[in-house]
Amino acid sequence: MTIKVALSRGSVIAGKAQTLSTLWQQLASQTIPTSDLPCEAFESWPWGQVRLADEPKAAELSVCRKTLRTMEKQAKLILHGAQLANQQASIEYVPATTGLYLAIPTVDEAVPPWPLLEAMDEYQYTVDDTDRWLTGEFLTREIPAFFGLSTLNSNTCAYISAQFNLTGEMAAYSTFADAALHAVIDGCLSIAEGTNSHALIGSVAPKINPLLLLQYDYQQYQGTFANSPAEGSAFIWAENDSLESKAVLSGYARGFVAQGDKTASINTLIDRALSMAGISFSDVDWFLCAGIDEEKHGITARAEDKDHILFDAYSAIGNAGAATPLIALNMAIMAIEQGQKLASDKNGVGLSEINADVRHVALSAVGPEGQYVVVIISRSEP
Amino acid sequence: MNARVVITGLGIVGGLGFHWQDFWRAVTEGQSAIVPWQPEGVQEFPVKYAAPVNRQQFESQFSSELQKMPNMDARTAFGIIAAKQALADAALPSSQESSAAVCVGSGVPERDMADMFLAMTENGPSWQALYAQCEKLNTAMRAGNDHLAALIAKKCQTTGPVLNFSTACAGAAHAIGHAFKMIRRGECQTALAGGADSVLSAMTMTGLHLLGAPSIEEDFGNKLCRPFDRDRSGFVAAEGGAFVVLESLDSALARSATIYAEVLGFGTSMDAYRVTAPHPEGYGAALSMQRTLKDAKLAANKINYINAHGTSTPLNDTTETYAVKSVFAEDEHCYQLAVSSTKSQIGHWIAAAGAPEFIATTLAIKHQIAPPTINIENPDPACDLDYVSGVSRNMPIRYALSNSFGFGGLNACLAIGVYEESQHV
Repeated sequence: MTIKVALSRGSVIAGKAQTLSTLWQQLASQTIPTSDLPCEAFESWPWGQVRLADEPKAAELSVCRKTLRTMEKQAKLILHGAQLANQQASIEYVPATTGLYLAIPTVDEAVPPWPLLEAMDEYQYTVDDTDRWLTGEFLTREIPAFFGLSTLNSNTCAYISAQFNLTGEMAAYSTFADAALHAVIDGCLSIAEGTNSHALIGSVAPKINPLLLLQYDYQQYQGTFANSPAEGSAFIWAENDSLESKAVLSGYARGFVAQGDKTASINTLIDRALSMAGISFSDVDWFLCAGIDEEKHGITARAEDKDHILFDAYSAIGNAGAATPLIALNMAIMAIEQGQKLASDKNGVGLSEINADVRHVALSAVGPEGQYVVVIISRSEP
Repeated sequence: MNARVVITGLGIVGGLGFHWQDFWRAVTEGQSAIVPWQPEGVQEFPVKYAAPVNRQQFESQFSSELQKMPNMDARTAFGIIAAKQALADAALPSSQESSAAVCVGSGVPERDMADMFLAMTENGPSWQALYAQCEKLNTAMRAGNDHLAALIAKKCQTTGPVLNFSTACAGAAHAIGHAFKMIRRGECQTALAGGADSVLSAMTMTGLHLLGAPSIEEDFGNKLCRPFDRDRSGFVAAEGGAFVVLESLDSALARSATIYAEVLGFGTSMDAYRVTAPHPEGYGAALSMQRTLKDAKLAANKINYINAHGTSTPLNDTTETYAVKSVFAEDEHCYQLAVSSTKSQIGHWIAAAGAPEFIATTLAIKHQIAPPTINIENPDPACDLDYVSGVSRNMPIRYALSNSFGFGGLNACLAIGVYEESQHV
């Protein structure tokens, strides 16, 4: 099986950076702005500073205030990301045959909502009182009217499709970073298989809130959760036969690596993707990896003496959940276009900008329980 | 590569039973899973009916399996058991199971009020109080929405792709459709696909009620879910889990598997209209059916039966009827095919809805029986198709569609055909 689908940069919101070039400069100069954690943390929480994104306003989103009330921060960020991708699109897309492929985390809102808990306290509720007075009337009075909409993550698909009149084929994936590369693969396959002419592919980070902190604790700060949380969203465009685009998706593989020798299982998947792209590991010029130790060890061992291959996207950008792989994918396309990449040492630590002939980039993502996805992005050859 | 894809395993846990045989018997007999219901710990809740799983029977019947598993939310438990049953039904060899793809449709994480009540202290709610007791929290709250998919993958010890879809009420249809496409293009040989959901908690139901989605009528009793009826007034919420095993025909033949039916096509679309209402003329719904027919290389007049999304909401049933009429307009084929809503019997499984309905469609083809739409007592003049009202019908069904239209205009449709040795097209 082979695949060649053209990819173009879309948009990047990563923390305070609203463009890819801003983020690139921040990474190259290692001056990434951080903000105080916006919520109360438990004592052992390791990061006092996180990479918060600004919450888009109604005017930026071109939605009415009523609609705005139905959207949590991450829904606003992904709609804003789609708008930026639309403004910056270098392609002419046909809305009726343009698909939408999104990676969307769940909306981690307190359920019951915090204001309802406060109302219960105000009315001197105790948990043992449930049978006495917790009524439908109380719940419908105290729960926000649009609670059912704001907590439904897939509504982002509806907002974006309605705003850009997209009626092509679609899919939305959840929850973690692997979801983003599933969106990329299936979005590109929809074009390769002729069901869409174009695809808008995007993802967003979960908003930083107390319930997200609980996920870090549950995941024991392992894998992508070993990195400081970040907010953001990112998009790319995919299409067939583009003269403009310099990058193509040339290979992919996806699997589950929960058991046995994880490094070997990951290497098998990487080799499968490379084989689809018709190249070998030695052809990879840049590997924007998922940031888990088993993978890094394998890449480092296989890179042998080749310098500046490994780039730990999560360590550099932060754990922006499903947004991180698409931010990294925009960076990969830019590296191929501009002949520059961000280099780090053998362990993916420390960054500097270097000139490089970037022909093939590997990019991977993991889910916390063993999901592993890798894609190969190659320079488009005439 | 274009492999043929067949259905070789079925598993379902819902209000009409815990095995596909019970489910199919109840569906064809026109039984209803809808019963009087109130959320646990809440009085005078405005929504009075639902189609829950009988938790006591479920826990008793599957106690040994459930005890071996970590503390989990109800929908994950339903999903795990349904997936296990589908695998057992397919009798896959372990080597095949261990390379299977896992595709799951899931919705808003199920959250119990008891979790957040851990935050309550004498001085009001406190995050610190919650953090201090986080070990008591439901796993679904901390592990993420794809936990069910990962649990199934671990149970199968698979190395195949694991995907979790979030497309509202079309989630399970997306999961099955993508599994079908992965096998067809040769990305994998076998897939376990479906969904599980439960919205029967006070918080989620309040959220849905505030949007006016579930019916609050009390007059019709357990006949409340009445798709295509003039007096329909909203969906009836339900819960459950359903999974199917899909595999390449070559693989199924090689191991002499029981083949229920063949999956022929999958299509999706977006309404690009509103978050809270379907396109009034069913534009997106029609597009998804047209794309499915194209994907399956089937002419519209070949379709004998449609398992409708049929939610019993005032908007869906008329717009779906418009959509069917527009797709099957030629020679008025829309009036010659049978359409029925399984939701009339099992309620709305929300993100998982596409899975039991895909199973119902598969069994309709296998047994050449169109299941009924129950409770159409006063047909809506705007809904004028043949809805197989009241009782199931023996009829030739060579090709069928299963529709799933998600909130916000996210539409999916699957085409299924009788398994025949020679390729359909």
